[in-house]
Amino acid sequence: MQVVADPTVDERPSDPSEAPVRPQERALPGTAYSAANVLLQRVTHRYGAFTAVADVDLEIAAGEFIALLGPSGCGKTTLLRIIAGLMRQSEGHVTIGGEIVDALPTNERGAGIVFQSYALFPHMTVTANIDYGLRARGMPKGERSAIVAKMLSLVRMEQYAQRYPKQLSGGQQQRVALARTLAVSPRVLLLDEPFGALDKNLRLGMQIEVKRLQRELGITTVMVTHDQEEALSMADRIAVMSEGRVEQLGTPEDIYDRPQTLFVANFVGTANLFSGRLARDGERFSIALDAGGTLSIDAASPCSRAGRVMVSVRPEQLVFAPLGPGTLPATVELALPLGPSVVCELALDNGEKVKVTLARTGALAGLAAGTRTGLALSPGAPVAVFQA
Amino acid sequence: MSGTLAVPAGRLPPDAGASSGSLASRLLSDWQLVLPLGLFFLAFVFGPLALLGYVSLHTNVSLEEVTLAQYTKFLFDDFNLGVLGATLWLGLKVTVLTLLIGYPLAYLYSVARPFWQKLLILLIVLPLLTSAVVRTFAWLVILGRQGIVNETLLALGLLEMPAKLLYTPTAVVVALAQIELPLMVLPIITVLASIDPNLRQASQSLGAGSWRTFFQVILPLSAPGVLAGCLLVYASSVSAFVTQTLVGGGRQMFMPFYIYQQAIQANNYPFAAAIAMILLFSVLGIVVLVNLLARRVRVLSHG
Amino acid sequence: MADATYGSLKVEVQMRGESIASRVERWSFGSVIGLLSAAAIVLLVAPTLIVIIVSFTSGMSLRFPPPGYSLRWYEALFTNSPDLWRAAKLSFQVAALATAISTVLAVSAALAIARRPVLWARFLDSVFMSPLMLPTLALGLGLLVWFNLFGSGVSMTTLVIGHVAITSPYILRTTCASLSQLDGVLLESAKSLGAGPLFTFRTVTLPVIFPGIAAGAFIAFMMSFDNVAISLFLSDARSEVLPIRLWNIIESNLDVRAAAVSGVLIAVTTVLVILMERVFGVSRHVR
Repeated sequence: MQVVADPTVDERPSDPSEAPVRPQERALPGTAYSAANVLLQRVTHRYGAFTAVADVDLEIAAGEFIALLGPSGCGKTTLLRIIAGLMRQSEGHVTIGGEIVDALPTNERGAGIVFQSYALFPHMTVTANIDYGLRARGMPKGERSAIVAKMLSLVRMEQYAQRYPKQLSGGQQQRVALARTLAVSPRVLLLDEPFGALDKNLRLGMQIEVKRLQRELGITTVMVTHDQEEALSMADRIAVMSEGRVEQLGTPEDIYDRPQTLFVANFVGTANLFSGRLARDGERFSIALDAGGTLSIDAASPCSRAGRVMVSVRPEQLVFAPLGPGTLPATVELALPLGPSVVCELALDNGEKVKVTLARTGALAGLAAGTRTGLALSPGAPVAVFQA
Repeated sequence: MSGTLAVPAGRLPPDAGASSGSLASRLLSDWQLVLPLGLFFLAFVFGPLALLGYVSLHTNVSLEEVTLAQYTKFLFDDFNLGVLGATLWLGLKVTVLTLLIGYPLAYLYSVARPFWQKLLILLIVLPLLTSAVVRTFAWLVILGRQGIVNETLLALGLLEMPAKLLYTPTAVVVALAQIELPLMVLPIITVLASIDPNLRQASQSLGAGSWRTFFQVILPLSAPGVLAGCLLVYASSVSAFVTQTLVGGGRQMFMPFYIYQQAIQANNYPFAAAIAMILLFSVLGIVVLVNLLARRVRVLSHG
Repeated sequence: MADATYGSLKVEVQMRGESIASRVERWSFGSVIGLLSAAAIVLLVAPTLIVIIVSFTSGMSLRFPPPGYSLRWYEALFTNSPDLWRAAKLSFQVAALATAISTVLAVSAALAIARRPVLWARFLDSVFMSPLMLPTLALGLGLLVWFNLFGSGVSMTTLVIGHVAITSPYILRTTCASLSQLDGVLLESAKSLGAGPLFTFRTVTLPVIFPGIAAGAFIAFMMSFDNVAISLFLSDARSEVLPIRLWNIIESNLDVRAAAVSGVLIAVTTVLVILMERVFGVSRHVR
């Protein structure tokens, strides 16, 4: 990860009119992508009394793909708009490529944004849409058409060049929106719920396409999404947000396997939550569950202090085991075969429900409703323990 | 969750609001943009109307002494009150008639296929943009002594002599209904288009027949359009000088012609101004009253 | 009763008819709507058709049906009607000028009103829409008194001013409606692609709202061309606009030339409306 100059020790004049280099002069549009790092420092935004973004620090390396993941209203879109310069934060600084851009309007930041609705100009053809940003920069026609042609082939839309947006499918519109943004060689690519408007089938294709482009061009990318699978599959790192704050920043494995807060454990993936009492057991730990039974684990993380805790166990971390000491007695209530796996819902003896995912090994016979079974942790499963 | 996290209603984020009009925001401020039209309206709409009000408070154009004489003269005279009453009554009759046939037409439009919708909208918009003098003239041809109505009745032997159809109250109402019909139909079309078509199907699948669905679902939901249409038609027909005068003839006096007659023919500007003010305020009063009543009903019906 | 075969299953099915009550209800509702709509359509269309038919009469009066057909009254328009041509020319000039001026005033005001908070926009909107609800004749009289008191009486200028007052609401309304349809994200998108305010206005805002402006200007032109109440007070003896000339012909001797003029006006209006509908979708903007 690149080390960023501390922008609080600012050598350059903060007045944007005296800023020595304008972003759009940095790179010839459409030819080279000079990926820039992005630094957010103590960024806070308030709408009246409501704080939408609270004290966010975030360091994004050049060429990195970051996903801002969170439920609607968590402030992720506000944060994206602040980076884009579509709105100005109440407090804090945004640094792109080593310069503080707080005072720069969006057209001078070099941050390209693809909107959820794509925002294609309805009265312009695909070509004119892609050409737009270049025209706005006053680039000569010859250069422009070369870049437009390159962009059209980049997103494989050559044969639709003369169509109007409403003659295109959702996926095609998104390609055009992407090409339009990439044509101006932004230093940072911002994606606002980019796949939200697409059918499920189309979505996967476009996700692969965007990831491919991002890799090829090596462009720093920030994507806002509420879809955890999208974030887990595409991003290098994920910032999980809730109520304006970054709950956890980490790689997809970190987020999924080592959630640092109960919110993250709950929001990302499916989690069974049990309350219980944590106790040290030599090298290991044991948790006496309120629902009966005891779980034995190698490590208690992030909380390892004895006392009352909440344990988060993923459905795939549980396995069926013979009834006996060390297992949780449960009754099968429902089994849903979901293609390659089977999701079972079981009831513990105190009535709490547990979800378990099993590989579909053929015999669904043992999963009939009413079957009594024991549940055990699969060996080495990294369950997350939180202070209650 | 979204409830507590939503941006407080009615308050746009400061920057998001500015973006919607970034077009000229940094070239001209809002006030600079509104100012030309605002000044024009002050100088040539509200100024003249205020002056008209001022003139109506005098006995002659030298504007020496302020008096309510013109108003008392108007209000304590049966002929004048008759003219006012006839004008307002005419507006009401026209409104009811246009609603009666305009609503079904708008309903027909809302259930028609796209091709027929295009044709219907053309039939509705065309008259709106065709000269009112021409459309009024048509009624002179239709209702004249040798017009189509008289000729037909004579040919059928229902009449022995051509009947006097022109210059009757009914003729004015029918002619005005034709002139104002688009103003009734268009707002209702708009509001009907905004009603979720599933509501009609939901109502019918719950066992309600066509009439019940219409009166209990469609009609209440289209009330705002009906209201807008009624107000437009009323205001417009009350002051429809051309049609009132040409079809009504000299024997039926309505307020607009009375204004014209007093100002241009009798040269009595203060009295003409007073009539104009009375007409203006009766129209305004009715519009405000109906709007208030409508709001009342809306508040009651929606808790 | 019938037999239906589903694969190897044979099922006895029975056709169940709609109940009589339901049929009566559906039928009665449909016929009431149909009859009243038909009345409305006849009322809308018939007068225009009758005028057109009468305008081709060979007779000297407005008799319907005409005793015979000829083009004589249309010929009369071209051979001995300098009065009508003068009036038409004046009407055209006034309407064109008034439309041009009110387009500039109303579009600029609409740009500001559309981005104001709701309450303000509502207030300004109702202020600028008031000429549509007020008796136009009162406004005409007020303007006449105003110009006599503060100016040098009536002239072509005053006539145009009066027409601007009644035409600008139409343009304001259609432009505001188009602006409210303009997605704010489009403007943000232009901005993020590096476009400045003027470039954005020229390349995004204006093209998107242009059909609205054009439709409004068209309606404004037609309303001005047709106006009587304002022109009656604000034109001097020499300048007589077409609708007033037409009125005078109708009122004085019911000259059949009036039918020919009407025929021409109807034809021109119809062609223009269809044309404008094709290009700008006028009907979407009159609601």
